[in-house]
Amino acid sequence: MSRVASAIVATGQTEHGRRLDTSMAELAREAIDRCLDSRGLSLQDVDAVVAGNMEMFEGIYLVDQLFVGALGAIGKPLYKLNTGGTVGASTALACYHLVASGRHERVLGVGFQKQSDGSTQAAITTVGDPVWERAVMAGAIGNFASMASTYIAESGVTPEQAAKVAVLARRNACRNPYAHLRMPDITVEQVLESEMLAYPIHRLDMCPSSDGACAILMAAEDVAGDLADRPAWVHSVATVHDQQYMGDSPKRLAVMRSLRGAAAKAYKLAGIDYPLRQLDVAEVYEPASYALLAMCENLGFCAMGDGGRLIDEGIITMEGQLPVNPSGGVLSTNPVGATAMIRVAEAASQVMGEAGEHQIEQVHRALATGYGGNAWTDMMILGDERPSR
Amino acid sequence: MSTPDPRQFDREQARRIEQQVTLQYRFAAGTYASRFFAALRDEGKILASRDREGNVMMPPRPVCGLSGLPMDEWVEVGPDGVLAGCTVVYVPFIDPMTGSQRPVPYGFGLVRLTGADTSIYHLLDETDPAKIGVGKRVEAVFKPAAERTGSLADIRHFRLLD
Amino acid sequence: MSTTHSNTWIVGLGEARTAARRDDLALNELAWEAIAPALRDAGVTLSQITGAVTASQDFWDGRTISSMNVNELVGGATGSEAKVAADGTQALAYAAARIEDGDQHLNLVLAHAKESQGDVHSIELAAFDPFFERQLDPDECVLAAMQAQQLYATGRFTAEHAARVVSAFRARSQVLEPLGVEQVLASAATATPLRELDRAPLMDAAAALVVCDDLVADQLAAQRVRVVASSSRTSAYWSQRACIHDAPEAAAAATDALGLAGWSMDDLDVIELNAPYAHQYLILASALGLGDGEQLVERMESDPKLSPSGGWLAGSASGVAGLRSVVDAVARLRESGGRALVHATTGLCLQSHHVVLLEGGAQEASR
Repeated sequence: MSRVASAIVATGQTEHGRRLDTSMAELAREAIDRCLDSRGLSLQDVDAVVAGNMEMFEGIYLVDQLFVGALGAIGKPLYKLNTGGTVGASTALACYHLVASGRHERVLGVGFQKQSDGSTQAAITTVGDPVWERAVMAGAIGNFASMASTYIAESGVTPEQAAKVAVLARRNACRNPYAHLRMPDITVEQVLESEMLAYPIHRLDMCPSSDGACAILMAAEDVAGDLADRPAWVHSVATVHDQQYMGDSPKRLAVMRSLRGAAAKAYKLAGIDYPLRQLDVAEVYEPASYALLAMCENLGFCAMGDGGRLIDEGIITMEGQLPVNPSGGVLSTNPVGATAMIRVAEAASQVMGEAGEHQIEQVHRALATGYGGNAWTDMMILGDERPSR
Repeated sequence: MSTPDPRQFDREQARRIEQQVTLQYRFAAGTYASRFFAALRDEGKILASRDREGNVMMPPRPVCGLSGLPMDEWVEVGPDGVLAGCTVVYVPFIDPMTGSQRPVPYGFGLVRLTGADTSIYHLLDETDPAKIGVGKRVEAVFKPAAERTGSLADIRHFRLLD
Repeated sequence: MSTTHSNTWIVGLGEARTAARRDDLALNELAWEAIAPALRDAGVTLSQITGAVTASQDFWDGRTISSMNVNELVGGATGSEAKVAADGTQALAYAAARIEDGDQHLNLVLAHAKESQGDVHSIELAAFDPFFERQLDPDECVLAAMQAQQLYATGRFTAEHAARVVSAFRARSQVLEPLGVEQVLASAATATPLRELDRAPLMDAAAALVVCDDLVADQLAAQRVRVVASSSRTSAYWSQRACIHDAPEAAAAATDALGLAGWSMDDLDVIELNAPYAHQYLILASALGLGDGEQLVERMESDPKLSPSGGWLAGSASGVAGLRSVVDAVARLRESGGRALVHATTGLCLQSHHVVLLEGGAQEASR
């Protein structure tokens, strides 16, 4: 398949949340150090660095160049990805391609964001097309609420089912020491009674804004086995985007062309015909409660329109047939530049058997997705078996 | 640079440096948008672009993202259409065009104009969630000709027909 | 187990009309002005393109996820796009990686920027350290001036040398008027010792390539040029560098790429350098071992191998300059064959260096 088989051999995360104790550079370095320290490695063991961050959130242009010391990239190749919410996954995929193509042996990926340093709403406003969309923008929440309405119209998903997703995420997060929102006592009623931000999205249906960073080390087949006892081998990757404007995709959240396209490719390459049975855990980039169910449908975890059943029947809980987001997901932690890399790192940790209290038993294959901009999807499937070429 | 141990950090010492990053842009609307906005301002018409396979894209654009073909025809769409997505927004939002807060609540939705294959976001004149819904019919309400400046805000909002 | 692995081929070239202000075109229309001829050149249609790597900067575009401007022009509803925030040569290197590992087969590489639409000072200011530097309201010109000051203080180069580079490179430009050395030296002082015409003027620009793997290239009639190797190296942030008037990382990137290709500097028929300020070409050329002092400047004025396109100084934009040089170098290789090195830079004060090696022409056409 690829020129060189590649595996994630280490991951590192910061405690996410409101991190007034660090600067953004220190935050990135905290994740890098944890990643490398976990294998007794140092920056000298890194051949190239790929950085992911959305610059408008903190207002730092060329942030990778400013932070080059903290990123450990002085004297090395430094790549900078910039693809919105999905950037952390795009960064992980770049690490993969740089190793799989034979360019480098050990590539460090790091995603970071410090949303408490800037204005999240102002940054998200600039996502809109300046000519066509900004005049009538309603922020990320207006957009997701509108998308949710389309999904509800197609699937009949109820506010209670969405609220159950929000509850599941925050309860799962209690087992994740890095998560931002950990709410052991949260109830469906609380979600439904929380402030209505934009119909039908309540405050507790939405992801938070977090400070945080995440790092991964991607290694080539010749060195991966030396670096980790149980590397998380990359079985497939896919990147698919959509058209240009927010209203272009006919059914937005309900039928996600980019996610379906990416899943079709990634499943085919990884030999997955029945994702619900063949995947052992999934880390899905769900910016809002409704989105998780819609995404699970488009990922083929159930029939289209059947997302509500996944939560009602407990299929996606920690104990279910396919646990989704045991980490607590984006609904619990969302430092934009790191968020999608956290999905990849969590999936890798599950395969490596290092997810701690939220470890799922017997993980052979794990899925991670990123989502950003106008339905931009990056996807990676990881497994414990080295892929044949 | 060593990693600071957050547990040893003295929170009393946490400093935050206030800074305003001001950026100003002058976006060229370009060939397609300029024509669109002129027709909207001067004739109260909503124009979309069409390729030779018949895909009609709104907003108009140089290339169709479905066919990959150049879009060299103009067609009038709307002024009525249906909601492809909709919401009522309750959180305050700083309107990027005015710099001031948009009054809440307000209706907001994706409008598929009659004749177009894609939708645009715009404001709705309805703030009761029970009265809006996917598939409901709406119609553009234009500002009076004298007030139109050549911007998407020349359509004041969409009003519900059903 | 012995699978053969693909090379990366450049099979299509396109460039938008570069000008100080393209108010007639929106950003995506400017990008299309580069992409459409690249597709025609390769003999493919957009619907055959399955993905792209694009290069642009959110700060110049005034937009978070600046590549959303061009999603439809690089693969539409099912395309596979990635975006780097660096010079377009990094996008080419990443595109080559995606082709060489078998993920992609026929892609676009695009770099675009409209420098006319933003305010250069406030954008550059945002690249400085917010805690220790921004209070002084600096921009890149101030740093470049310190760099030039230090360079000239070594006695190796003078302001007149830099002016001669501007004049020589402008003479090679397709888009900018020629300039005499005296005109450069007489232009308005910006930050001592720099003058207005020491800097490449702000432009609206876009450049595009069609790239593909072996199998696709074999099916196309287009003349192909191979991406033989690429490398990059990043220096410390300017204030943490012991010396800002040299560029050892440019040399390191070139050495690495040449090593991968099994070439030496002497094997090159074209060497394209890119930087926004004239004196930076002197730094780069001497770092690459092309000479020093007066003798180097004479070489830059007369050696047809050295920056035949005139580089960024001949008219391009931030992030586009390097890819535009690739377009130019590929066109030259198609004409007369040979090997080219294209250098580009990202960041303040020559911080990051990207190097791409290309080979093509007669020997490839007869394959």
